[in-house]
Amino acid sequence: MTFRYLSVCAVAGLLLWARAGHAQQLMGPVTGGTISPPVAVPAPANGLQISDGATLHTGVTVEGGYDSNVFYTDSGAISSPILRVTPALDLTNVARNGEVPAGLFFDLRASLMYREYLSSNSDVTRLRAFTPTAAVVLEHNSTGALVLGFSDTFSRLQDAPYAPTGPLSDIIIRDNNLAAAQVRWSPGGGRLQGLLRLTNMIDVFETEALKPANSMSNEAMLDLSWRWLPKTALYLQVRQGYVFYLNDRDAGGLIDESTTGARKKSASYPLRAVVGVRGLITEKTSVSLAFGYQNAFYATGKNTGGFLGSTTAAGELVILPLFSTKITFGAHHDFQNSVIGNFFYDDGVYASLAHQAVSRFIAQLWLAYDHKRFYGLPVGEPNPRIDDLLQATATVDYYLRPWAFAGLSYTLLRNDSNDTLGGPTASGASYTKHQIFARIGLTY
Amino acid sequence: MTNQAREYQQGMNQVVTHIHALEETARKQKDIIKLNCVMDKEVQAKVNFGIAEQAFTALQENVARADEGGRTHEFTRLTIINQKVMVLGAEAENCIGEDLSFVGATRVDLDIDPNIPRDDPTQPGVPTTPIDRPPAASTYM
Repeated sequence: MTFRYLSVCAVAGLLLWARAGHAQQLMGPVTGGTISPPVAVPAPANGLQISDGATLHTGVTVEGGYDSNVFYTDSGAISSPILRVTPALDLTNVARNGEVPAGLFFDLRASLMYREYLSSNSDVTRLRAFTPTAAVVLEHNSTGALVLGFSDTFSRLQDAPYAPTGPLSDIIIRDNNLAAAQVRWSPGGGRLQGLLRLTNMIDVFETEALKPANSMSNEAMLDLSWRWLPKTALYLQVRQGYVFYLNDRDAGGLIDESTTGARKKSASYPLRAVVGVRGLITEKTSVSLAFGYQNAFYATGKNTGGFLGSTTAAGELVILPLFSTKITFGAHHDFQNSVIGNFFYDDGVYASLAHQAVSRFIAQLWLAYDHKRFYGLPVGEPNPRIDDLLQATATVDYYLRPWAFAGLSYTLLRNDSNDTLGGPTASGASYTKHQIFARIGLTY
Repeated sequence: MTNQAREYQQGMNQVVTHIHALEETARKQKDIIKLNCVMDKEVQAKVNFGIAEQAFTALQENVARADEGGRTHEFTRLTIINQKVMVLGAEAENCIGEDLSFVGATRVDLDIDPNIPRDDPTQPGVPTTPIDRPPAASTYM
């Protein structure tokens, strides 16, 4: 997928949804579902024409809702009503008919979400926060055979602390910047295609207890594909990463220091190499399959290993039974670098349904289950720590006008962990969290 | 509409360039009858091309103003001028007897079944930001 499809998908606005403070990660070579910040999606026909080919869109979304478990605890949950206001700007050169320009394409987005807890509990109301995000996407397609792309996304996120009071009561604040540059070339008729992508991610916590996990991740990805049908390709993809931590702080609360002797989190050189197929198998059905080798190559501490631990696999099936309906099923087995311990294996399945009726009514449902096994945790914690995370989101939006919509959303998070963290009132182990929102949005 | 107008402009520019090349050919042949004929077409083509540029500028202004009527009017002007220039190009070729030998650039028309999805599912996924809330690791963190 080229960067410009990001914007096209956003403009379509059908299949995207954001969950409060959570986002699905990319499952290796498949999408793993869809994500989007909770901002209003403008119709391309609207917007202020500020120069030849450049259009400025703006919008605001107001959400009123209820969070059943602000602090992610299993008992003694504290609930609160929430108000969220999210203004957003979008500067792009997508044409008013939705057509993406053939040469230089750009899309600059920014949003600032303000979250207010309407509670009398001062431990809750202090979680009010501004959450800024900014993103830029540039792509240049000069000849059709060579496409250059660049993207950068910054976000500053704030989430509930691990405890309402006491030493772990600092709000979790995370600054994340993800930049990617890529060149894609498809000589001749485009049957053979190569893509080289360099990705840099800076992940910084402002929360004292998590500062040892401040990291920089770099990854080079080479993807070679052969289209044996116009929209179906066999491919080989190799990703080599380098993850290192930005300070020498004692990470005793995050990792197992006793067996490794290390006091800081371990650098790693994650390697993934997969072969697979992606594309259409019928007019209305597409698949993405990948199978291959993975190794985290941690410098110290627990590492991936064994046949299953060294194997990565992912599969996704997308069906379009109707013109405006999309059904997705997926499953994956892989590992992720982790803030706690060294890494976790992630075995997951997910499904989503998106439907649009009469261009005004948009309904979406998304379900995901992940079985996570964390390795390299401090002594005294389960090793591996096993989390079973169930996530569900349902949303309905009705576009009253092309520039105004109203909707409802529901989100469920249920985590079961074998790590009690000292009792059921501990945050971030086992918990059930419901969130329901009603929202209205205006765009131009 | 703007893209189509831009294509018209490029096409007209190619025709004017081609007529100029024909003029050079007639000069080399030292055939005054052919030369006069081609120059006559060239002058007309250039005048029309100038009008087309004005119409294109007006079209962009109307697009910026979201003036639907004005935009359609200017686009219609451009379409007519484009046809005139194409005819002048053909007439210039007739002047030196090239009408049968010049067939223009190869054009490929591509029809895609509307049931086929427009996006390209053969492209790899884009990188995303992992922004999950990190789980607590220990009670003494």
